Amino acid sequence: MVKPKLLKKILRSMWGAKKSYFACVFVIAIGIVCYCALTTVCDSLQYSLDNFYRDTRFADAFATVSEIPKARLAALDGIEGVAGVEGRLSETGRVLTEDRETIVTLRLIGVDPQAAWTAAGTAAEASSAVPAGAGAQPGASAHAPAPAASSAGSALNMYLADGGGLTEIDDILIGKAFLAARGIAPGDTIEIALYGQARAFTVKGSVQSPEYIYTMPNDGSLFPDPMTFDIAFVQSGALETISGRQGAATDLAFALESGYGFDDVKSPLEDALKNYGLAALYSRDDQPSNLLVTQELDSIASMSAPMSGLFLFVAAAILYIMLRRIVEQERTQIGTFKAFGYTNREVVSAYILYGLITGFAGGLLGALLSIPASGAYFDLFSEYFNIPSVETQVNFRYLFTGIGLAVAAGGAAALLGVKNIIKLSPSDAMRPSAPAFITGSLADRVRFLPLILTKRGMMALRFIGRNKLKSALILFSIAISFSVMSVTYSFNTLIDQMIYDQFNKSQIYDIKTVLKGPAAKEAALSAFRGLPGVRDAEAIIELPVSVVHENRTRQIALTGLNAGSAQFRIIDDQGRLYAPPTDGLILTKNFADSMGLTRGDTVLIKSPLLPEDKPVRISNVIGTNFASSCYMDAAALADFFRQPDFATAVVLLTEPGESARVKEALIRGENVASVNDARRILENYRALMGSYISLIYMILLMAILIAFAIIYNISSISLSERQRELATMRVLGMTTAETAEVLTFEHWVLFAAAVAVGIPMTLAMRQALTAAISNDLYGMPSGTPPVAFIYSAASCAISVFLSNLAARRQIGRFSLVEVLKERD
Amino acid sequence: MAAILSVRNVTKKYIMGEVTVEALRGVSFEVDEGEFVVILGPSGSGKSTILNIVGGIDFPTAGEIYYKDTPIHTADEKRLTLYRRNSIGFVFQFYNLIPNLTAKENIELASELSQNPIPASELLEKIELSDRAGHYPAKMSGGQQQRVAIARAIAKNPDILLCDEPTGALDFSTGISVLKILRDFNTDYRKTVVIITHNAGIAAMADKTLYVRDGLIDRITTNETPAAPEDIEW
Repeated sequence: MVKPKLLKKILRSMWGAKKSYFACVFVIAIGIVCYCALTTVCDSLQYSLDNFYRDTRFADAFATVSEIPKARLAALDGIEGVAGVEGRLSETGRVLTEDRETIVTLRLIGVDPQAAWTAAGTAAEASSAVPAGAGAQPGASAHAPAPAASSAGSALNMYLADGGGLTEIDDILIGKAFLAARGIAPGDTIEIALYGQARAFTVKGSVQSPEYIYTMPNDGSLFPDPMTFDIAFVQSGALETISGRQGAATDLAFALESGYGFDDVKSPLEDALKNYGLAALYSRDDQPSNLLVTQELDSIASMSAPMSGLFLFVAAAILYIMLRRIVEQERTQIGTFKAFGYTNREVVSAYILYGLITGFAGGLLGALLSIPASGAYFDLFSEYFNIPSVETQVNFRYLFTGIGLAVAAGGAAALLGVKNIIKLSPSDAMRPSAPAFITGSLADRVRFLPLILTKRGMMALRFIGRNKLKSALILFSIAISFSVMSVTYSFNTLIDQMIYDQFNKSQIYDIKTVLKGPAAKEAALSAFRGLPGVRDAEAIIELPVSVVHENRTRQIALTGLNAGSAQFRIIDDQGRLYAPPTDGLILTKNFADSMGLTRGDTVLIKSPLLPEDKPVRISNVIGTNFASSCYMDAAALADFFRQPDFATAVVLLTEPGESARVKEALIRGENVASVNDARRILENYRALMGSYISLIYMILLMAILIAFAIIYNISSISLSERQRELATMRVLGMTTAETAEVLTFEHWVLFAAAVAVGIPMTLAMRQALTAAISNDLYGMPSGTPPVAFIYSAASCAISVFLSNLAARRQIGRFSLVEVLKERD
Repeated sequence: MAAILSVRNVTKKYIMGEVTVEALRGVSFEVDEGEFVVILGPSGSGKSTILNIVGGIDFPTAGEIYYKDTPIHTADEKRLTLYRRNSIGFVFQFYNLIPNLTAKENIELASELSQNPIPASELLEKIELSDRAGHYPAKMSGGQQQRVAIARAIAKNPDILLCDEPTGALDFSTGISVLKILRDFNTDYRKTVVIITHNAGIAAMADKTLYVRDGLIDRITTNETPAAPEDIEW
């Protein structure tokens, strides 16, 4: 227990050097914000997701078939391990809007009107699945955390967010994001065209589905765009009538019995569905939306420990240096305490308080700041993940762990910094400490240095050389700050570059038109080339297929491109151009990695267009920054499917200023499923990145402040350590600027060394981050543009400059008489 | 001989919380060019305050100080720095050598500031430490350090050397050797030397001695036949 008077002394000393301690507290707080916010967000998302999956009875396995009579589903139920199966018909319908340039589509899913919904507000309340037609009240809150709600009895994968059920044949429940984006409310009417018929539906409410948490159409889009695509549920009867597929299902979802896994049911299901045009069969783990969300969660989780660890290391390093100095400065006081009879333990305990208090203050501040930070961060994710959001709960476990970590870091740094107290005897303490500099340093071994440097420059270099540990800690602290900045700067630049490359080197077309179904290539081309305003058209093939390798099955769009294409080319992340292969597939690296594939391997392609699974060789694996893709030469692809040349999409270059006119013509086209404007994709990307950019700038600001805090503290410590010699120099007649040169030169040398160390550190950090945050939709380029280093170096240099300015000002304010009066 | 320093009715008050301490209560004296002056007085008498004010590292509360004809009492920090740089050499009781510069570099640190410096090697020879030129302060005795400190102060070739208890931390024989160097500087380079000390024995080698007591000049004595440093005792 620390004696009260010692405690008072410590607190007063801390208050006396409050700026330095505040700087430490700030750096610690940032580390703890990273830890608490990231873990809380991760937990909240996982918690929301788990609840959502459980409440909506997210299926364990999925299959897509050309068509299967619902009456045959009961047979699948009998397969060992299958606890239940639900089959739904799904079709993509075009929403008729005033918008003349954009095709708006909804993925219409037919459901049994009697199916029991999991609904907002009821999921939390002990599994009260809401029967269709008796849904939750409009406006029911979707913010209730859903604890152990068992939704046994409700249909798979359906969540009624708001509104009523499907009581009438023309009722429709639409994705929540779509309604919000388009300002559509329950009671409104919406017209949808399908199979050439326009049909009016009455909007009854909003829905969400665990199958569509990240809602993307199958047209090669890069980002969700709720203005143009979402899901909608209608009565199965309505959809069957429109499509003429009475009693049929295309999308199957399976619940498995407890104790059974996907691998147990895979083969029997494949056999059972073979005759129904099985296009894909995959587990929940490989379900596209789930896969993406899981990757995102993994990336957040993987960033928490290293990010907070880095900041805590920096803070601990500063604290250690500060406390070493304090012990040196207060050696006479320490000797006096010991002479009075204070034990080593009592004195050390008191001095450790410097670290513990700083750690606690930093931890507490960080924990408190993490509450709004995690809220903001969570909102950012909620915007793109279609799940009934819960309020981020204050997770006291993480807050206390964060505070504990901060106290531990502060305590450990303090213990290392003050351990010399134990060795100090009262008699030694009363004498000035032995001079530290007794030998030459590295700087003396470089013979030309004294010739090119002033004495002040040599003083600075020797000080660095003779305080190796301290200098190394300072150097690494600045280097970490520099690297965090470089990584953050590089994000902006690289993402812009990535998008620029994608739309200027790879997908060069102005418009991509996805056809409703395969069409003869030449016929499609002549139709599109004949459109006024079209400069050039190219037919391509995009087919959803399943790629099977060993025990993994993944759905992917297999893209058939044309050799020598001027509109759609295969380019890797290094800018290298590849010809579409005629004898195999080119896979993107993220997809190949997720399947454990390398060049030369053979995979099986599963598609309703193929009578049976067909092998194909992987001719190359290339690194790209965008969605998982799989390429082949278009003609070879048609051959592979034993079809004459065909197209499923046409890419177009338009005459300048003709884009709108072309789009207007296209959306009137009968066989056109969607029209993707490259410009709009870019706009969507910018909107998406807009949210991230605020986060990036926040991190950047913190990194700059941390750099300043580190350098300012180092400068303060250096000043206090050397004020006697600096004052002597002033008395000798040196100006404030000349005297400050010793410190400023030292800082610039450390800064330069930190930048040199920071560059490889940045590259390693970028590599780690790239691996952590790349997912199926996009990969982060792992390089770092030189401009990021320049910006970061400039930011650090500004911090050094400002700290030097502050140091110079302090030197100017030295009371020479007071400083020189004190004995060392 | 012309006065190089004129101190006229200088007072200095320190306000310490609610207490005002009058360190100097109206001090007047003159120091002539080339004089060897000793300011003698007990601890707390105000002699260090006089040295600090005269040396341009502290400000008087009232009164006037002139270096030759230049007023020092009205000088701003910039002019005081130039004054210290060009005209004053300081020697401290605890040497204040820069620990990470060698003996020679410590001297050169000062000579870099001067237009007309005395070469470091010449000074090292004079203080008989040529063989220690590359040694760091930590490897030298107190006497050697003080000799280097004096050489450093002299290196700028200042008009006035102000020494604050230069022998205070040294044994007798080392102290005498230090005083000898100061006397040599005074005679060889015809420079003014002002020493403050509480050691009355040193007064014997002064041309002029100022006796300070309670912030006032108690008396001033002149000495027509100053003793050689080797002949003084304490």
